[in-house]
Order: sequence, then structure tokens, then C-alpha cells
Amino acid sequence: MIITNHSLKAIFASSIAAAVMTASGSALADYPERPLTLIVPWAAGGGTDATARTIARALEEELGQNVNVVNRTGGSGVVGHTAMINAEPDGYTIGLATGEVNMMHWLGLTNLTYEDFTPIAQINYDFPGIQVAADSPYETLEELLEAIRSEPKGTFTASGTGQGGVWHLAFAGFLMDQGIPADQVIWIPSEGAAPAMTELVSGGIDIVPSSVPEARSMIEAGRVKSFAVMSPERIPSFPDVPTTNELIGSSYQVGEWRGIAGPKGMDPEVVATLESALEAAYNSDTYQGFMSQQGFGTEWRNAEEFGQLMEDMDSVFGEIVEQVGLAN
Amino acid sequence: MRDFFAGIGFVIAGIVTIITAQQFPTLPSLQYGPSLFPSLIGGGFCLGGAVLALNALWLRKKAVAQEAHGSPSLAGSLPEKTNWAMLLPPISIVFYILASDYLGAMLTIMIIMLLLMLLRKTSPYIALATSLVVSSAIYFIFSRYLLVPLPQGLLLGGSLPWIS
Amino acid sequence: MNGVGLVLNFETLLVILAASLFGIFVGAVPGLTATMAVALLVPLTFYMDTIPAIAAIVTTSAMAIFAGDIPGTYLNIPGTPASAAYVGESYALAKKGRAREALGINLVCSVFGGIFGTIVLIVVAQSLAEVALQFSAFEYFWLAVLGLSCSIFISVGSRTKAFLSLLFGILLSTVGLDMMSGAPRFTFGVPDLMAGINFIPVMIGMFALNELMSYYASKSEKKTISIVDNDSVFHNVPGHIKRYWRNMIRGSSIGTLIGALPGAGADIAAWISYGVGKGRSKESAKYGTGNIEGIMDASSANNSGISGAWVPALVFGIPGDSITAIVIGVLYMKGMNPGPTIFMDGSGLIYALFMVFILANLMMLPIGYMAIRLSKFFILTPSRVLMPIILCFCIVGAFAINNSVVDIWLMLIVGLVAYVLAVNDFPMAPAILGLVLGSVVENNFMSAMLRTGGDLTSFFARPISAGLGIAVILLWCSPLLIKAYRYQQHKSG
Repeated sequence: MIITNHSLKAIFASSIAAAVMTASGSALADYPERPLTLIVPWAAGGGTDATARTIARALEEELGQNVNVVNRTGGSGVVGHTAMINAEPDGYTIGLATGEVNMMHWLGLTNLTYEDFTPIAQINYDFPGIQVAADSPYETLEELLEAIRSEPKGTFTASGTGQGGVWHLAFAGFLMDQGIPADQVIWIPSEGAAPAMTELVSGGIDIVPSSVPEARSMIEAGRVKSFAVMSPERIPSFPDVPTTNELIGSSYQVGEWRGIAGPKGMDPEVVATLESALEAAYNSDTYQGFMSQQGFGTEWRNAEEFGQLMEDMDSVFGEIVEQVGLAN
Repeated sequence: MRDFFAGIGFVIAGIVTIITAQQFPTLPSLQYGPSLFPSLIGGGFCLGGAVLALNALWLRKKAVAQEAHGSPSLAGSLPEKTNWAMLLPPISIVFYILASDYLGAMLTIMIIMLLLMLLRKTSPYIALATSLVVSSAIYFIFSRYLLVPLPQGLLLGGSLPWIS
Repeated sequence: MNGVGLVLNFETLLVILAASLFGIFVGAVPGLTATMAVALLVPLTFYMDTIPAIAAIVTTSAMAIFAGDIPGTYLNIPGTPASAAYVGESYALAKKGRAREALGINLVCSVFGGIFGTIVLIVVAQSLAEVALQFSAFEYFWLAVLGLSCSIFISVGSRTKAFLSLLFGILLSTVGLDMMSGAPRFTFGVPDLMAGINFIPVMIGMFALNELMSYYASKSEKKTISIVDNDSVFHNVPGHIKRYWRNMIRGSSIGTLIGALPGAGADIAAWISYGVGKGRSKESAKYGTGNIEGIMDASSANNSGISGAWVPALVFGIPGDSITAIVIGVLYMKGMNPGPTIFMDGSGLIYALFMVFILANLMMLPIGYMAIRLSKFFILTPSRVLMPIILCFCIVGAFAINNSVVDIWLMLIVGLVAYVLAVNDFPMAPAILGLVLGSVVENNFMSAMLRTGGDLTSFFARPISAGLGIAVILLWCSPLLIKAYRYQQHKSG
């Protein structure tokens, strides 16, 4: 009985294996043979959504298949990223993962980490800037930092994302890098950079450390000034905004990465196909033209480097979350 | 009398809300935090529910008193009989959720429409024709033009012509 | 004026026509909503040029918001939170055999409100945006409280029940990640609930599913609404306008102003102007029983609010409501960056945009008229055929907003709760407003407290905030004040 059972199991297992092999074999040969779905964890109409739709369009030309963008929004990115890792790892459902992957689990919102993803390629990197109202009494970054340092705790307020969002953590990390306690500036959570901008102009808050393109219309309206951007080089579309490195010699550069990833356990050959198609899409005029026009930062990392970045950033954000006192 | 039970229901819901809200963390710099509003709502439920229940009791007392004096009232009238057919829409929705992954959205909504129409004695030809046309139209418009990823279903397994 | 050429070409006009039909269709089908129509358009606009893309969105939203009142009038299923303010009114009129008259006046007021808002946008956009920038968390808090209070004061029947219904809606709004602390609330371990509860599945559950269940609960196939021959779309419009033109102007002004505030929008506008209308009316007792006056106030405010929302969107790139939030994204994607430069870059794009607004609103008259004529479909189709179709649209409509099955569950559960409440004469409209405004009230309150270290007096420290606060308190005390006044009169008289 035992033997039969065992052999039955063996036959069963091998036949399944064979079925899987043939299935994946045929999938590999013709991949992709049907349209792909690209999950975006942020709302339609936002910057991430626009980036995703542009890369999707460029990718369509490379793969010869439709790439449908599906928005799964909310919960600080938890919903969309969860949908990504729960998809079949067959290469037909991939997603635009964002830096929140490195933050959500530290904040206790979810159990998913970067290890649940198959990294495919990084396509964008945005760095925070430091924006204040145009009528702010401070003229330079140094003056502002000096004031934050000398005034009592809680004099200054900043906003731009929810509690524990990317600009909150990046700004807190910057303060700590400058030897200022993270809670010296009170973080006022908001639903995004746009509502924070109105609060900044109406005098409700003092600083918005969002990316510079997010402040573009207010800067052009002469209502907001950007002191600096925490990037290695100046942003081409904002050549007048200096980097923090130029101003105060700070090499602290933590920002928001965006990249294409799939659920864990994807076939390496499918990943390779996608990776090379993405590289071509990344270098296409469609993508590069759109990104430079928007002022969004482009940065390419292949599957392996992208995986490494996720791993590195995970510990960086883990430390910031711990220091800010949001760890859960 | 139904108001009385509705009121009691709200009081219970209010208490549950307040208890659940106590588990929420507080903000670092304030005495209160995410639990404040749910607690206020719970309190409001209790207050409003109590007013509703007491009001109903008071009205009933008045009605009973009136009845004792010989005037007719509605206080003793029987509640209308519950018609369980009202659960047909919810059951159909549950059926859709459970079946659409296997049958696909188009087939599932076709079955729902057909059965619901027949249940109310629509002529079979009209029911069949309408459900066939409407379900294909919904599926076609939403999947093809509006790019809504309605489930295709394992049964048909991507064999639908316009979704290639 | 090279803007003219950008609009008056075959492609753009064709897009406007197609978008009108799409908007009318989506708005008029119970279970599908205006916001959904716009959200579904985004991927399509990606493949269009700038002006046709914007034209498509503007036209669709204006049409869908008007058309949402068609199932509201015939089936008591409103299309937007704003139209929930006056759905009781138009449904009551429909029961009296005046459905077309109600929709006709609604259409004219919508067009008037839309054009009024557009003219304000053209003439004073920049200075109005300056006013909007004076608003901070303190002011938004009071404004949202004012909107919520109106929902109770305009309700018909028990105020206790309206209050409880409102609280139910606010409770739903607290589900999800709390913005202030980042802590999940009432999510029960379901990741999708972290995103909070979208008002669309809730609205479908509360109104459409509720009506469906009522239909299957009754054995009768008889319609409560019948076609009356002398019920004409436009026949009574001139008379009503002559009598109530003040309501249209007042509604449109309130709508444009509140719509222009980035944290408020057309929903608050419609409720507040309905409330103001009821307060100022000589026949306020008739409100809720099928009064044309209330429809005129609120539907003017509704559509002018949509135009108003474009003020901060164009001047500062800040969305005034959920629809302009999507549009700003599309504008950016098309390289047309909103902000002051859009008014002076000389490309004529802004004039093209204004023309699209006017055109879209004017198109509403003929296409809306056609839709009203066709809407007798709701009456001619037997309920036994119509109701299953509506049910299927509800399922697809709830799913399509987030592509999530959880939203279908949500529609189901909320629908069941709403059915029990509705059977016990609880009004549903306050719950919808509570859901939409609950988080506005809470987040602005918390944000203000966080900034001031918990100082409650700060809500009266800024002039606009203090003014709004006093208005709210007066509103709450008004029943007492009126009683005291009557008592005095009674004593002296």
C-alpha cells in the first residue's frame, strides 16, 4: 500500500512537473503571447501613473503586445504592491514598484518586503528638494537650517506626504544627517504634495520637502522658492536650483525610486526578455522625452543592480524609521 | 417599536466602535490621535440611539394609554411579513464574486440576468435575448474600450475573440 | 486668437460629440457614475492630442453629472454625492408625473451654472485663486462641518435618524490608513481596506442595491412613476426661471466659490446651496415634497462648482476636486503645465480650453434634451427586465473604480445595512455626504491641532475661520433661536 501510494505520488508529481515544464517551455518560446498587465500602486493622473503609462507605451513597441496599466491605489501603496506580489509569476502581470516597498514593512503596515518581488529594472529616481514660501523670512538653505537648529523644538512644521511617507522620511534623514534631531521639525501629514503646497502658501506650514517638479507651478507662480535639491547633480529642468552638496557639502541623497518588478519566482528567461525590452523602452525617445519634459529623474539599473538597490535602501529606511520613532 | 430596536442597535454599535477605537495608537505630540473621531462617532451612536429608543418607548406608552381609553392605535398592528425574495440581488452578487473567476464576467452576468428575469416570469425568449445582448455589450464595452480588467474566466481561457 | 483653430476642427468637435454621448450614457445608467466615467477616460486620452483630450474630459464630466440626475429622478438612484442632496425632491416630482419638468429645469440650471462658472473662471480666475489660497486647515474644517450640518437641517423627517445616518457615513470614512498617524483603522487585516472606502461602491449599495431589494421584496410589477402626456421638458422652464432666477444666481455663485476651494468641491456646494435655498425660501415647508425651487439652487451649484474647481487647478496646479485631480495629471502628461504660465504663454491653449468649456455646456442642451426624451426607457421597460440589467451594471460599476473585488463586497455589505436602515425610515443621503466629508473634517481638525499643539481657540484666530465657525454655531442654534423668537412674538401678540 505504502509503495503504491508512494509511486502514485511520484507519478503524479512527475506528471505535474512535466506539465509545468511544457507549459513554461511553450510560454518561454513565445513569451509574450498575450497582453501584459502593469499594476500601478498610485492614482491615475499622478506622476507615478504618468511614468508608468509612458514606459508601458514604450514597452508595447518593444514587446509587440499591449501593456495595460491598472491602478490599484491607496493605503500608502500597500494595496497595489500586495496585488503585485500576489499575481501569478508568469510574466504577464508586472508592476511599477516604488520606494514605499522599503518603508511600509518598517511602519508595520504590511509583511511584504523587497524579497517578495522579482526585480526587473529601475527606471526612475526622484530626489527631494527643500521648498519654502516665497515670503519666507529665510533666503538660503543655511539660514533655514540655522533657524531650525536654534529655535525651540516644534517651531517649524513641514508637510508633503502622509506620516512615514517618502518625503517625511527623506527629510527626517536629512535633518539627522545635519546633526539635528528628527523631531525638531513637526511633520504635518497631508494627502500629497499638492495640498501641502496650498498650506505652504497660506502660511499653515513652513517647509515642503517634495521633489522639485511637484512644486513647479507654484515656483513659476512666484509663490514658492526652492532652496536646494538633495541629488548628486542639478536637475536639468531646474538648473537654478543648487544641490545640497554644492551648498553645504552634504552627500545625503535618499529619494524615491521607481522600477518594474514582478512577483517572486518569475522565470529567469522571462525576466531577461523583459529586462532587455525595458532597456530599449527606457532609452526610447518616448520615455526620455517625457521624463525630461516633466523634470522627473531618470536612472537605469538592470535586474541585479535594482535588486541590490532595494536591499540597500531597505536598511537605510529601516534606520530612519527607527530614529523618527515610527517603527512598529 | 422598530425604532426602539434600531435605537438599541445603534447604542450597541456605538459601544463596539468605542472599544475598537481604544486600540488605535496616539500621536506623539498630542493627547489624542486616530481614536478620537471613532470614539466621538461611537458616542454619537449611543446618544442618538438612546434618544431614538426612548422616544419610541414614550410614543408606545402614549399609544397604550390611548388604547386603554378605547381609541384605536397602530401600536398593536403586526409587522408586514418579510419577503425573502428581497435577498435575490445580494445572492446574485455573491454568486458573481464566487463564480466570475471561473466562468468569466460575461457568462456570469448573463446567467444572473437570465435567472432573475425568468424568476419574475419574463417570457423566455425575451429573457434569453436581452441577457445575451446586454452581457456581451457590457463585457465588450468595458474590457475592450474602457480597459477594465473584468475576469475572463478559466472556462473560456482567453478564447474570447476581441481580447487578444 | 489661435485658440479658435485649436477647437473648431473636425477631430476636436468629433471628440466632444463622442464624449457627450459617452458621458450621458455613463451618467444615465444606474450603477455607473461621473467620477468613474472620467477615470475610465484617462487611459484613452493618453492617445489623443492635448485639446481633444481635455475636451473629452470636460465634456464627459459635465454630461455625466447632469445625466446622473436621470436615474435619480426616475428610480431614486442618484449619480453623484452632490445630486444626492436633491434626489428626494426630483423623485417626489416624478411620482407626481412631473419627471420631465424636473429634469428640464435641472438641465437648464446645469447649463446656466456651468456657463456662469466658466465666465467667472475666464474673468476673475486669478483673483479668485488668491482668495482660495487664504484657506487653510482651519477654514476647511469649518466649511466641511457647515456642509455636514446642512445635510441634517435639510433632511425631511426625524433629525435624530438623519444624524445617525450621517454618523454612519463618517464612520465609514474612518476606515483605512489614518492619514495623520499612518495607523490602519477598522481594516480587519484586509489590505484593500487600507485604501479606505471609496464613495462609489457605497453609493451604489446605498441607493441602487436598496432599490433593487425593495423591488424584489414587493411582488408587484406596477411602476410608481408613469408617463404623463402633458409633462413637457421645457414648457414650464420660462415660468420657473422668471420666478426663481435669484435661486439660479445664488446657487451658481455659491457653487463657483466653494468649488474653487481646493479642499471643498461641488458636493459641499450643492448641499450648502440647497440648505441656503431652504432657509431663504418663503415656502420652505414644501421642501422635500417635490419642490422645484430646491432643485434649481442645488443643480446650479453642482455644475458651477465643477467649473469653479478649475480655478485653482489652472492657476496653481492644485486640484479642486476628484475630477480636476485627474485632469491635472492629463495636462502634465500633455506637456501643458498648469500654473500662471498657462495664461500667458501665448499658445492660445487657455482660450481653447475656455471655448471647450462653453461648447461642452452648450452641447448639454440638445443632448441632454434627447437623453430626457429617451429616458422614458426606464418607464417603458418592464421592471422584471430592467432590474436584473441594473444589478449587473452595479456589479461592474463597483468593480471598475478600483478593479477590485473588495469593492463589490463593500457594495453588498453597505447595501444590506442601508436596506435595513431605509426600511426603518433612515434617510440615506446624509450618510453619503458623511463618507465624502468625514475625512475632510477629521484630517483638517487633526492637522490644525498638530500645528497649534492642541489649541482649540485657534479655530477662531483667523478671520475667515472665525466667520465660518460663527456661521456653523448660528446654524446649530437656529432651531432654538426661532423658537425663542416665536415665543416672544406669541407673548407680545
